[in-house]
Amino acid sequence: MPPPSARFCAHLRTKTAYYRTPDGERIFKPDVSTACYTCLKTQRPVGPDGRPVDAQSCGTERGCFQPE
Amino acid sequence: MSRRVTLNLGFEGNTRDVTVVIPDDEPTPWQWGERLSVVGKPTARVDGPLKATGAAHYTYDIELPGMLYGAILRSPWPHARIRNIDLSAAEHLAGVRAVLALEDREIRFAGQEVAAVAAISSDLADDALKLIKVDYQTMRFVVNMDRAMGDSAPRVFGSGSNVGRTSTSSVGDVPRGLQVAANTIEATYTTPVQTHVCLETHGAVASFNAAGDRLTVWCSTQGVFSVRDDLAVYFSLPPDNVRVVCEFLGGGFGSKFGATPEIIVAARLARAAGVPVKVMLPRGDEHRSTGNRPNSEQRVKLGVDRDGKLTAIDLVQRGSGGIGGGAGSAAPFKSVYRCTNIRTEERDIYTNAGPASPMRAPGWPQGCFALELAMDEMARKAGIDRLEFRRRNTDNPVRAAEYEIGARAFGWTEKTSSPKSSGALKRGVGVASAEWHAVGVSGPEAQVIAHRDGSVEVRVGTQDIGTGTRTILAIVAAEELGLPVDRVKSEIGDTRFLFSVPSGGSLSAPSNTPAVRQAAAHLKDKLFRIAAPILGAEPGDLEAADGSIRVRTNPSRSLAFADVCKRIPGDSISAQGERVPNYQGFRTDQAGCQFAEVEVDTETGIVRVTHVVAVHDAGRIIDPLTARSQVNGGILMGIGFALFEDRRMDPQLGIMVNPTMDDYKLPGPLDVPQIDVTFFEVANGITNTGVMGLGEVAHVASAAAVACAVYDAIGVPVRSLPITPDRVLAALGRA
Repeated sequence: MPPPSARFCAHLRTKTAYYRTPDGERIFKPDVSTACYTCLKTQRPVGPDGRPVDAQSCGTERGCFQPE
Repeated sequence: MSRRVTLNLGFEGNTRDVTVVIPDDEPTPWQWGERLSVVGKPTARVDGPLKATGAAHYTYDIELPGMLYGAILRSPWPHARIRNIDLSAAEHLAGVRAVLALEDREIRFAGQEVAAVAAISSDLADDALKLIKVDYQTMRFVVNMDRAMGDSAPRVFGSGSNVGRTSTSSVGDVPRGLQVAANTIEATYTTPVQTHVCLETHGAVASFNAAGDRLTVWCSTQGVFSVRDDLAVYFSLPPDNVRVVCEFLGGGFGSKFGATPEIIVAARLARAAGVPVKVMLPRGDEHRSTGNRPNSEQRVKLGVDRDGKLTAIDLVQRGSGGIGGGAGSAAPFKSVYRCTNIRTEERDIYTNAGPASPMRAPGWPQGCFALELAMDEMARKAGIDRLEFRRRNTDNPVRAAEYEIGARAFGWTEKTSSPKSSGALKRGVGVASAEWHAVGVSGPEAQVIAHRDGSVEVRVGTQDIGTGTRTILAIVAAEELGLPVDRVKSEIGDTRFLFSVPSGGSLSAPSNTPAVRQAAAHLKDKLFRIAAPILGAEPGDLEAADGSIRVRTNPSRSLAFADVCKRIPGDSISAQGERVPNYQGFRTDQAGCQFAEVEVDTETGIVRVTHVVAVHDAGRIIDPLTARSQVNGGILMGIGFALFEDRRMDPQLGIMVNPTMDDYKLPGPLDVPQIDVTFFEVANGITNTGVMGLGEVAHVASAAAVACAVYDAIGVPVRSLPITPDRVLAALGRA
């Protein structure tokens, strides 16, 4: 499995991602149902492509994805 | 290098020795029952006088030479496409220095940012907004969660479904658990959208240097480093070229984590205008656009056997965070009570309303309300005392002990056995259980400095969300250095200090205090090396206590702390500490419970909370005063959620109809009950201070306890929050 930094868009934000693991990775918990996601580019829960953002859908398949 | 330390962990009557491995330079964790000099003693907030006199500088108070005032134009439409924006009239208004059209051309909620201006006064900025001509192509919208799920409902995101993320979990066999149950109940509970209502609205003052490659931002934030890092990415600047300052913060509750829209807008306007720009949101925008706690509809099924043990818990939930997700509420169902058969299903529903953001214990107050009221409905059906029902279904020894402490303090037995009033005023009592997990994280670093005048300074890049961070950091350093608290000054809220994490998730105290203690211990070692030759002792033979540095075995051989500082060769001496990863300790969870008593006027439907008893564990309590203050705040916020708060949307216009503090009802001074708080100390051994967070666990159960008390008072459950007079009367069949 690739490290989280390669899996999540550099602009994806959620509360836990402002904390890091002891290994320095941003913390994403895709299974947590209370996580509110935003895109730093829009500062809203919608990406530049007009689709909702979250840890499951903000992957490399989206044109706006940017690796960390 | 590391060492092994044996700690006596647990709580009174239930302790055990646990060996933990800690880094060599970590101070030995404080032991269970260890008597400390200032930790655990009530200490008034060190910055209380600054706040009380108005001398504390919030972002709102920042004024810079040549500063402009920014304002944001927001969409009046809940769903629209922007065909054109004409900024020219605004740009030509005298006194306007910058005008921006924001990029997103699709509007998804009323209140979404469209454009922004900076002008020499805030009135002029507002005038300029009125000159911006926006050509909107309005679109069908939906602000009601039920309607949003319909096949013909307008889509919030293009052709995508309005049903967002679905989360499911299952352990055991719920159908079987319901089948074998001696009693079952099924009911649906709803909670409203709650807004954060930070007293200090979101806002920022931004200033670029002349070259445009260095940015300084003063903002109302829960995370100065989070904002710094976001701004660095957004503006493609090295993080070191961005400084973020938040000396005082007027509330956040989860809504002020990173670079939120108004911070970005302030910085963009500042860059465009070439001078500092301040953007502080008006109250209406705060309600509409800065986040909220999503609503919920929770269908709950419970089953119990003949012994009153839960055989099944089933939750089907949906909630709407407007255009955002994160509306789940299942967490309490999965972990508060012991049951082998649990199934949960949660669904996010998109609507054309302002997006959710994290809010004090996300999901828990909603879930706890539904779970606890269902527990009471089941207890009544099964003929079991409600507290006894909870006792039978907990396997958490901390919570079990807390039930007994709370029941005694509240007078549960007396109050539940006394007859109800025969008049219009009915009294009732309720109890609800809390849970949280706030052991803190590694990452923060701290610096502690001793000056030649004997004063001590703590510097950490954290911020005070209102919990008393300055105070507890000073207490921890004072404890380690053997000083009174007033000799220590805490400096926080600036990215020029060493890194710290955001203040959220109840993580500030457990994340920062261990770093401060380690830094203070390192500083102490340096001071011991100065004092040792004078005292004719080895540094390892010394201790810091009672304002002195002295020989441990012969305290009469001592030097005043200030006299040691006079021998500092330079102006000051400093040391750093880091927050190391958590050790393996006693438990990583927190329990807690709250008891509430209410008075319900069955003629008017008005509910008044008269008494709340709260019992909470948060590891070691550093300052009982600030800790109690957090519990008080959690309870009052819970009373607001239970009885008053409700974001109302106009289904015809798609706008929030109560975006003021007059119309969005909040508890006032007359709604504050008697509150009695007991801290149940649990030695967790997870860090060198053993501190756990308290901000969220103190809020989880409050609304639920009130709702349960109302049910007890009137004999009918009110399954929808807020419990307004009309709902009470409807429940009584008198509407």
